[in-house]
Amino acid sequence: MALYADIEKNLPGFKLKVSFTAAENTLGLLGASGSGKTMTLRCIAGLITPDRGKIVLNGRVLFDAEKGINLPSRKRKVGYLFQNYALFPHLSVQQNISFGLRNLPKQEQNKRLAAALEMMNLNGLVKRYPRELSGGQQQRVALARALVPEPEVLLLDEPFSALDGNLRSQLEEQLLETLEKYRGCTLYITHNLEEAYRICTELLLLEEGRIAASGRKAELFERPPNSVAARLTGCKNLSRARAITTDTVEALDWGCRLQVAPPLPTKLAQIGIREHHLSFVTDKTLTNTFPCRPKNVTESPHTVTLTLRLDGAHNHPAHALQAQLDKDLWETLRKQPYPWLVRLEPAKLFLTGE
Amino acid sequence: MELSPLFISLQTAAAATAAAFFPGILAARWLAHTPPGKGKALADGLFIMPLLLPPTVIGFLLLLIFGNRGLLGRILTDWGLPVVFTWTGAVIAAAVVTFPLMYRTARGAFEQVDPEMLDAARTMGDTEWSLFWRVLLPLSWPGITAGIILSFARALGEFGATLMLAGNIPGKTQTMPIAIYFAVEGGKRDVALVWTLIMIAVATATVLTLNYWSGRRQNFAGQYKGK
Repeated sequence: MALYADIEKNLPGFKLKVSFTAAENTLGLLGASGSGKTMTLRCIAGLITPDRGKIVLNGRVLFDAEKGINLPSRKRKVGYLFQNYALFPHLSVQQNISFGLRNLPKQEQNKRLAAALEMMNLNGLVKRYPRELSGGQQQRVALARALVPEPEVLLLDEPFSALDGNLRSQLEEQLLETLEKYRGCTLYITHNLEEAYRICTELLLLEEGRIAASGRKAELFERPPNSVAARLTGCKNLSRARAITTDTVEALDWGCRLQVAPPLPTKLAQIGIREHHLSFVTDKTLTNTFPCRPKNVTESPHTVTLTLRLDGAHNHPAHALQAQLDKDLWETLRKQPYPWLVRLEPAKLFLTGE
Repeated sequence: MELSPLFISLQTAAAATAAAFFPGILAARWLAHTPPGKGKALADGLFIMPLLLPPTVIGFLLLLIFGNRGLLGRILTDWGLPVVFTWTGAVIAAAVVTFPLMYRTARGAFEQVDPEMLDAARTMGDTEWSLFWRVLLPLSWPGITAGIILSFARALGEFGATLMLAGNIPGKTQTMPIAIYFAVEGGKRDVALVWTLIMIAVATATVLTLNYWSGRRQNFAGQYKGK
């Protein structure tokens, strides 16, 4: 089971050029709005025709610009969950789910419908119309509708964007269960980092129509290979960096010298650390420990985010270090006299090449 | 008083609306979701033309096409299907004049439908033809109905093109508007008045039906009523 896509699409003001392979697991497409996530999915589904490239699904060529192959959507065997679900308002839940089954024998249709209703917990709702359903129910109907024709690839376009927080986590569990049972590859679009991390096995990070990085999620989050990947995986602290020795680096934007774990990348560009990896210590002889003062404090329900200025550094405010810590740690820290000591532990620092 | 103009009018308008319906919605389907371009602008202009030209011009053009000197006219006459001065001619004249209304309202209704609905149908195995019947048409049905009623009203009032192509043959091609004209010309003002009142009654009924349907349409847009 594999999907291979190497596509290029030129539009006025936007260029999509992506190439990737997805195996039988969930591949997340992560990127800001307008980075080309949806367009990639639409190309695979045959709703947009790429200008160049090739799309192969389980050995079937869906699209090949050179050979002039372009299978219409209806023959591609893709299941598509649209961002706003695109349920048919004039059809009942049952009719919506059976929409893609009409070429099958009646008996098979009923069997699949019953299985889908059971799996998605929709049994009491078959006669209802989409407008009579809650957001979560609509999402389940849309997912059931995409799954019943037994597609070879499942394309999910931000399935949770239209739902609020509480419902989200509940439905997320159900979706994970569904995806586990599904035998085929899944492409999952989101711009929510944590959601991507929970649901996907591998990630594609997109920016401006290109793949900035890809790989297993844990690796991407631990060692983002470049600054775009670092930013897209939620890293707030990035500084231009210059190598001093084999294990010392000068962080130009932060105004400090840091010890790092070798080896350095051949073309060192930036150094970064995630905001929750900054620690506050009392021993100033530790490596990478600097006196600092808070410039700004933002409280969230369980955490506090601090913007820090290192003593003696004249960095631009935009490049100030950000630290995130739990509320109880913050309660202790706030009582201490200035300067505080912040530590950028070498093992937590990551370096990116160009 | 001879009542035949009433029935001829209703029959002609119904037949013309039916004749304009399929070409109208197909033309609308063709242009509704295509990206803007020269071809689209040209086709749209052509489809709208009968609405912009005076009905007498339409009538004259139709005479050129269907008359004895026109190629199509000669072929049809040979087949025993003459158009000029026949009820068929009245239907054709009214259908041509009515077509732009059908096309425009249908196109507007189609354009209101979220294109993602159509994409969803495509990914579930539907051909363009089948999604047209299963998704697009049902979702735009209230708008289409308004188009049908408007077209019917326009066909009912058709005068110029009908007179030029089908003439004024009582009991055959004489519709109400034509009957009014010739009654006034013949000095029978009382007959003209009766026909006028009947026309007003029919028009009022049409407007009421239309309002009823547009009320349903708003309902449809806000919250769709299943059945």
